[in-house]
Amino acid sequence: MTSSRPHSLIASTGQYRQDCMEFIYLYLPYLPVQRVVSECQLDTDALVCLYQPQKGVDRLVYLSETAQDAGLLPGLSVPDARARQPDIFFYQLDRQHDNHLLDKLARWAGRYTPQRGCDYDGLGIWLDMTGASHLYGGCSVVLKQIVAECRQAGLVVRGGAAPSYGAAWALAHFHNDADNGISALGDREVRQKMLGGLPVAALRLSAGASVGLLHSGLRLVCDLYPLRSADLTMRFGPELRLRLDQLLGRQSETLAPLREVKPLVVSRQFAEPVLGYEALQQLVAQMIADMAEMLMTAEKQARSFTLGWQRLDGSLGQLDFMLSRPSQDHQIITRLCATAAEQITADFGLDYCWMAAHQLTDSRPVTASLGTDSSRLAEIELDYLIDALAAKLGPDKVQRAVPKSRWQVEQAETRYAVADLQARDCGWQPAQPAELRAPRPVRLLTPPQPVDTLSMLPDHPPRQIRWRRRNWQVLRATGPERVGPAWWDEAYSSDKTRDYFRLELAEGPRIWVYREGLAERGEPMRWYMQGFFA
Amino acid sequence: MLSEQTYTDDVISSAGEDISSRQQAFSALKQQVSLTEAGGHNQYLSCDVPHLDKALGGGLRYGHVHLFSGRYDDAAATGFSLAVLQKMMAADNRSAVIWCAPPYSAYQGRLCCEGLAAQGIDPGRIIFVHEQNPSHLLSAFEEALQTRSVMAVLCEYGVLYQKPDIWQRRILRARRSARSSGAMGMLIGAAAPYSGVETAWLIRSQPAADTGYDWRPLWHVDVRYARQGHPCQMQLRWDSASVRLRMAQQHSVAEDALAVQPVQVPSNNHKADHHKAGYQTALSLTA
Repeated sequence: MTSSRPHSLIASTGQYRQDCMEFIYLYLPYLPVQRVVSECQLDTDALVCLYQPQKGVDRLVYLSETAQDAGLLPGLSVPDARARQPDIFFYQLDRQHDNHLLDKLARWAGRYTPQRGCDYDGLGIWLDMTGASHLYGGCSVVLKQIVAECRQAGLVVRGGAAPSYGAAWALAHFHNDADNGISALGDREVRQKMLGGLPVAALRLSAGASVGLLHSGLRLVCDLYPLRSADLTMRFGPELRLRLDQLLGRQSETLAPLREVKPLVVSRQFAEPVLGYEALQQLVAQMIADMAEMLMTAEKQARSFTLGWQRLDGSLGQLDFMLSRPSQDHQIITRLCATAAEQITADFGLDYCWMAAHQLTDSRPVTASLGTDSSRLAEIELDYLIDALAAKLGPDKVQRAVPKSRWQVEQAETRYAVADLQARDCGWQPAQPAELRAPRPVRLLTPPQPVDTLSMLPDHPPRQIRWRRRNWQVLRATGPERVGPAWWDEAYSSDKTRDYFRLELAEGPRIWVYREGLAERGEPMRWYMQGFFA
Repeated sequence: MLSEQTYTDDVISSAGEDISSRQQAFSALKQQVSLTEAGGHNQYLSCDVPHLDKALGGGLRYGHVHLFSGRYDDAAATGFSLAVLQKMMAADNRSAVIWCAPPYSAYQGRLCCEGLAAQGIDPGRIIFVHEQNPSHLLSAFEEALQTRSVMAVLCEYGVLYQKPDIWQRRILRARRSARSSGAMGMLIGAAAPYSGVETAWLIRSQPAADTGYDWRPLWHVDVRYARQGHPCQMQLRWDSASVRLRMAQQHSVAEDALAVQPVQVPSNNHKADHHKAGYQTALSLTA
């Protein structure tokens, strides 16, 4: 155990091969918990525990920060944890979703480097910044920037930058200053000292090996520096040697970067510039046909399409089309891109055109020829119609009506764009037969139109109204139905009480009028026409 | 309630075997032509009134465009199309309904979903397409009619009918789309030229003061044009509780007694002023 041994680990290695590499590791310790908190709309400081069944017992895997502060530890069984802290929210771990989230984060990180990937077990993503960091002013600058951006997005993140993946991993997981991003890129000696202060768990060893190290009294990485590698291998197996080399950058590590999903692209070049509506229409039709064929042969379905073009003067243009569910059908793409030819501004003509399909998924054909799933097929068809209408008119033009619990009829419904609504059932309760309901018109005038009235007594419904520059005789009337204003709401505090009457006019129309204001309060009384009955 | 009368081979073959009168042969031929024209869609929505169904040549046909027109100061055309829609929705509780309309029209306002729910129609099944430009609106109408899983497409066409060439072209295109899918197209608006449509209706609200408390809609329905039938006029009443249209004269006393609502629904509106909440009057000024 003395440092004077001739073959100590550090002395025996000649060069560090990987000093010029730059890795960034981002550790997201609370990602699964934060996902659950945002999905279930819990308080950010709620006690949340994620568990997983292990050998028949539900054991805690990830805990929120507050739960850890409350003295809970990973590995505790759910009943034990509940006994200690009764007000905990328990959720089952959903690794697939968490991995998907990490994937998304890694894809986002593609803005810094194409070489990036996920470490699903370590709850982190890594970026190989070698050769790319100078574009952003250095690796540590990138690290600070990423950490700041993640924090802005509400994620708890710890980051480390080092010349080897192992070192970056260890720093992000175990260094005390990793909250703001710790960089160990500079001097080799400094780095060794920095890594030496980390616990042996930073070596990414299997559980058995790290327990063995602890039992031997080797708690920190620096405890291993003076030991001979042969001794370590003999005592703890080859894994320790490998991990230590990876940590110190003497051994390279093979990492699998995230695979780039390449869009499918079809393109056409023209000898003569294409000009004119008919020609453009034909061009779009050709591109769509090519694209549909390509998707068919690749057995893929796409959710978004880009139609791009280059004009004669080299300027570019682009149109995007989105589908709400992936498709490869020629007819559906044609319907989606029906307005494309009108939207292309060709100026002096196009000489190059391309179409790309993004968000690809494997094609899984749905058959309903045997009558198995016709309702789903109908739903799919309706979705495509909504997409086509949204592409043509704008996504906010295709809407569904959602009821709002208000007595004021003009506020009793809200229209939402179909794309923004999750549920298909909007929650309306149509009247059942023989149900008594207050009458409501089928058409509503908003704002209501003022009318002049003539009635027998001030309290009576009108006998005659003047509306739209005509006098209308009233044959019969029912009412009043009194609707008070929402006095508790500041926005409607100036509204007055309304008495609604249903009138039938001599010419036939059945209308809904109301009297605003109460005489006993000394308010001026006005009459308004608000709707038509069927 | 939806009678899908399919005039199939038996009518035609029997006509082929035993044609005694010229009229019979003629009607059989008519059937045959209509079947070919419809491209296989020969489903009818019965209007519950035999007289009317006969005038329409079987009922309102799916896979075609129908024009319901009315006056600006009256929602009878909307009401009648809602009555048709209610019957369709009751028969098929899956397919969607598309309603193309401008966000707001100065004369007619907008559709009130609470009123629809009060008539027993689920507004949640309707997808609204709101577009100010009537030309875009009709192209959306046409687009929606191409979809097989759509049951009915309604369109408030505004003033587009004032340009006859565009109007006619659009109607023909919509008809072609409707035929390809079998959905029913309904155009709602002011009286418009009806070339290209299957049936053209003019609907007016009719005062029904003599029926006392019965506020069910009563319309004077004028079938101006029916491609498979002949024009006719009648008074119809919409009985939304039983999802039926009735001829106004056909009322039995018992039916009327059922439909009468002697006292209005006391609104359980706790937000309203309570000192007057119980005050309900039902006045019949012509009594």
